[in-house]
Amino acid sequence: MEDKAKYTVLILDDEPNVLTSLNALLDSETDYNVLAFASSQEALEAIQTHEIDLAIVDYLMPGDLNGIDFLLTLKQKQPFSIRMILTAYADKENVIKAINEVGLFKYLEKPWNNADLLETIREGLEKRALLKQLAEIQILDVNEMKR
Amino acid sequence: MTKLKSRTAEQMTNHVEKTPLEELAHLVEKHKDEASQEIPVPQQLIERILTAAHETDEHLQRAQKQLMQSEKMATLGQMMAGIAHEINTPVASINSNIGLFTRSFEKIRMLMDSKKMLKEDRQNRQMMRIITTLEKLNHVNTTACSRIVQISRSLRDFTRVDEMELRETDLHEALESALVLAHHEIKRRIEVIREYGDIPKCPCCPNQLSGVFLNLIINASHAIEGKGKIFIKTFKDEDAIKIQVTDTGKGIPPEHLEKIFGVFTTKPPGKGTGLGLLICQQIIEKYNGKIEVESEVGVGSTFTITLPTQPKSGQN
Repeated sequence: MEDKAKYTVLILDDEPNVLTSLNALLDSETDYNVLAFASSQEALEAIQTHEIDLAIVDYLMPGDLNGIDFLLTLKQKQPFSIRMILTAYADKENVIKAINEVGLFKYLEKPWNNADLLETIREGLEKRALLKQLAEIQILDVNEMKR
Repeated sequence: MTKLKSRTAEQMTNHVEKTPLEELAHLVEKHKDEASQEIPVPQQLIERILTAAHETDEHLQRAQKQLMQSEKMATLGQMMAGIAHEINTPVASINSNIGLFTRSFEKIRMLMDSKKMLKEDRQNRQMMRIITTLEKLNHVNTTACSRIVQISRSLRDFTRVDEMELRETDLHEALESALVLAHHEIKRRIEVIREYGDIPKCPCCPNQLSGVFLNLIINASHAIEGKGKIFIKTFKDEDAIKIQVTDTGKGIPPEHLEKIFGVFTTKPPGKGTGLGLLICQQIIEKYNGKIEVESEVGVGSTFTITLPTQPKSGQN
């Protein structure tokens, strides 16, 4: 890993308990800068002003912009972000839609295994570092990433 | 042991040349030009018509019950999927937190160990004792929580509506899944002995087969009063795969053996609907397989499922 500033990880889940658990996990086991939100609205505001390295989002956010649509917005705004879904729903149709439309890095089911989740995030951030490098030396075109 | 082969629908209908209704129609046709409004119908024919009508009635009743049961199961399936989901969310938090507790206790221990001289301090010894107790309890929590996760996963897999498709299935996994769900009926009382053979994967819908296995295992557990054993044996037999569930239960008397694949139950009201084996048979027959039973009163029963290694159909 390069000696850069800390990675920023965004977590979005309308269940406060899950948010607390994830926050505590990342806080105690990693040095990532964690932005935690219980509503898509707040999260949308955050992605206007913060560079997000990796986002972990629940699929369903009742009464709110749902997880997939949030990730689509994130993809448009920050095409090099790593996008993940962590959800209790396991609906195959939406999994396929998610993976295809959103360009999902991983789709994980609840309950998750702490060690596996941390490893997946690490992998995601490695990919993120690589993507950024390639973009900097202009091998990757930003508009390609937005599609 | 009385051996009874399961029957196909065709074999169950024994045909005479003309059905009673056809004969009646024939009579009507014969006498239609006569002036009198009455037709002589032989007593025997009337009796046959009544029997046929009665049988039709029974068939209809059975079909209606089946439909109701299927509808009930569909609703139950939906409910269970919803419940599994509801459980998964809080369990996710608990499961994650338990992992963090374990890590935190490790860190505390390390911190305390690093200050060796403080070990002499009475308060620190007390603290270490408390930490040790907490670690033990957390270990129990870890085991208990992973049990919940296991059950929730089995439930979720079992009720996944979007996976009624054919898949190369490891039948042993399907059996294990069924055993997880049957655990409550079995634990403590019944010993499960597995004799898993070397069998190929089978193209089928794993949920359906798991359901059939679950039914057989639960029946076996109900047949055993008090303590007993259930043997689950799988093996390859030429072009087919055989799965046998044997119990040391009370057995099925020969006069009942005929009926168990119909609408029939010896269980008290409220326990079982008598339709389980019928539905199991239909599922297995869809895969061009069969279910057979052997039983001896006082000794036990063996249900044998035979599945061709290349079932042709299976789609619901």
